[in-house]
Amino acid sequence: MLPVLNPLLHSELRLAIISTLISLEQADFVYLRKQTGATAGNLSVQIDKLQKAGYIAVEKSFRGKMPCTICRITQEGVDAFEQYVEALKEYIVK
Amino acid sequence: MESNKPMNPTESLELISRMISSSRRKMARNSYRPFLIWGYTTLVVTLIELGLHVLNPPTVSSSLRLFVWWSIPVIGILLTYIFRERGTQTKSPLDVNIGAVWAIISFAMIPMFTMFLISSAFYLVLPMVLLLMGMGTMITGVMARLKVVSLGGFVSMVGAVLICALALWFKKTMEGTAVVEARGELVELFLTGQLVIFALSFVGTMIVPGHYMKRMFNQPEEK
Repeated sequence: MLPVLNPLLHSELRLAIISTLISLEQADFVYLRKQTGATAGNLSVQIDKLQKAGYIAVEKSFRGKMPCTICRITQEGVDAFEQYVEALKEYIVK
Repeated sequence: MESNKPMNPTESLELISRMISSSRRKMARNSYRPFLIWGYTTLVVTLIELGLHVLNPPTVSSSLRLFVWWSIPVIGILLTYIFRERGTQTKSPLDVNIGAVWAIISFAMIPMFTMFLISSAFYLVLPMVLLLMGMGTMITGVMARLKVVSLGGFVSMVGAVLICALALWFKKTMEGTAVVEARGELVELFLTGQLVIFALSFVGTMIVPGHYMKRMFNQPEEK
């Protein structure tokens, strides 16, 4: 029987965010928006969902007068991502 | 990109692979800058020193010539500030690790220069600088998996050995030379030789790897 794919990660934008963060130490909101090509509003909502699930940590600050949002993947996020990739492999093999 | 677009497993894996590869490429895009900034600054200052040494203008005293070397950190830090990456807080583990390596190497320069100032062993400054820069470049090359950059580090190490060999030859020849004019010529030859080796080593260690990294990381992305 094939494993169930984590619904939180099995979404194009959320998977793109996690895949970007997995290879980085940290990424700011502007970088993630450029990387994913998503709108600011949509990206903000998906970041919030991933943060609530404990997959990413979000740090909000100011650089001068500009707001700055920095995202980092958590260990929980890394584990979830690895499990997701393992599950995907099983789908492809079968 | 949409948040709820249905994806099959193959599309998911493709997306993961695309994001990781694009991210790595974007992060590495400006990593060549410190190599070119410090490489060209050191090369130009060394050539000025060489020019002053060969032309020997009477208006420039030898102590003033020593101060020309100190323009390297001043110009280098200034250019690094001018060409810094603005407005991004995004960092890859590679950036963090390479940054740490160069921070340690820069820090090691302080006790090294203090040591030479105390002991007056100035003839060892250039090979030691080459050795430290070579180590930094080689570690960067190994971490970034770029053979050309690692080889660049090796060039510097060879340069350091050549300067030491030149110093040894100079010492032995001086011992066997009694004529004042001949001794003067030997000193000239030694000073010119070590400056030429130092300049060429910097071309191989910083400038060539810098241009190579720029070309590698700024190629258009494959679709």
